[in-house]
Amino acid sequence: MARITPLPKTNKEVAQLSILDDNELVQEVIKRDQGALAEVYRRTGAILVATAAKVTKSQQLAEEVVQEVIVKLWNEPEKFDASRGSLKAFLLVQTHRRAIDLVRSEVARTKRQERVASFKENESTRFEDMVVDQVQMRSILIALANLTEAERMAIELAYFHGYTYTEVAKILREPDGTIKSRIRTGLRKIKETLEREKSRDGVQDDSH
Amino acid sequence: MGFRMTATDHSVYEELVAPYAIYALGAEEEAMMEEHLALCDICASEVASFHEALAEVAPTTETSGMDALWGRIEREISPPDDSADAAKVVAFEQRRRGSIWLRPSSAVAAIALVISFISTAAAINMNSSKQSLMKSNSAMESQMVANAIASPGSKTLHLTSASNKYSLDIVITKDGKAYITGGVLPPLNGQTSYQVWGIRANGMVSIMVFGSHMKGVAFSLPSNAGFAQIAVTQEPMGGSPAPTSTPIVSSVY
Repeated sequence: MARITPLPKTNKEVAQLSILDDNELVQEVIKRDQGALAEVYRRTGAILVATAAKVTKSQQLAEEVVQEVIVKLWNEPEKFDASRGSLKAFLLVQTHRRAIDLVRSEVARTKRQERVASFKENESTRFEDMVVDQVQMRSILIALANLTEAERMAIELAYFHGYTYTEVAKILREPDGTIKSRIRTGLRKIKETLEREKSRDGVQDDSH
Repeated sequence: MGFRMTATDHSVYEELVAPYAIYALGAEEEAMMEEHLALCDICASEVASFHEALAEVAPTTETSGMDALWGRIEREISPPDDSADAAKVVAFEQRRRGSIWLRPSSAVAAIALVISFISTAAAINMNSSKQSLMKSNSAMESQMVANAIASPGSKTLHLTSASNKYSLDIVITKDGKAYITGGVLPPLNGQTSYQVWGIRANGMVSIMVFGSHMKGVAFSLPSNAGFAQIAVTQEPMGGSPAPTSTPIVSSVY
């Protein structure tokens, strides 16, 4: 039996999909176009796998998470709302949450407490460790350079290790409020720096 | 006893927006925050903006080795009775950015590695349980491999260690689709992956990353890539931009 929709086999078809914006692409997914889903995967797969791998510390688990997330988009594409953000952010949130759920589910409560107690600083992973795209690297480094070490540590422990902010507070021996504040300040710095970079790049582009 | 937040105490929610955005709230606060977000556009907008920023700084990795994952996704979304077509799946074509595929620093490492191909740690064959797991997951892959082997113009690469203790077999079709057909490699330790490299005069290029489940793993290996040798190393989980260890197995290409 033939596929519902054949994968695009020509460069022209691939090129047509590659110029679609997020919303247009998901509309094609809603029409059951596997080629559109392949384009989604091309745009986001490497980021999703890398993030899931950093959280789960397992390439195999990471791929399982990403497979689940991409298949979920195929089954429920209407859940993506372009007015609420980009497709990359939408899929990344799902991937990150699923990866953390896996990590948390695999660690029993008692072991989780032991894990908090035995956390060593050198377990920390950094956002930029696996970044290999030099263009992306530049803006990321600028954004992250504005974080204090304390802010970076708080975000990374929560984001990549799956600790709640109260657990991060225990690890770092700081009050809960301090950690909440560091996470918030850190995220705002990243956001504002990236916005400034985008604005600056836009000005440069316009001047050419 | 945990505190109870009221809808009017907005500052409490404001403090939780950022931890919520990175999934760092406990279950109770998470549930309360979600209730609040359904009603508060300001906080919902801030969560969305944090998610966009995190997506911008998200780590990424080499896009090699993603073909096999796409193959699994494609099979899952295809109708069950579509299996006959599975062998015809078009390998997922990656968009590769030249700058991350070939680095000058890799050239030195490549030459050193080629010269120093040596055998490494003790051989441990993949145990039978792993093999059976692989088999259960790879009926389609086996079909694809069988088709590749039978296709006109295909060739087989037999990568070995210096002592012949380790090996890896790859079949490559005329149009550059490659599949691992089997082999014996030292076991991964949970923090490592295998990485395939193409070696040419001016450097080493990462081709793909794979795990313990190797049979049927698909990737692209075009004949015009100019590789003199193909090698496999063991690298940190997810692969490395440049090799960090000596090859386990290799072969002239």
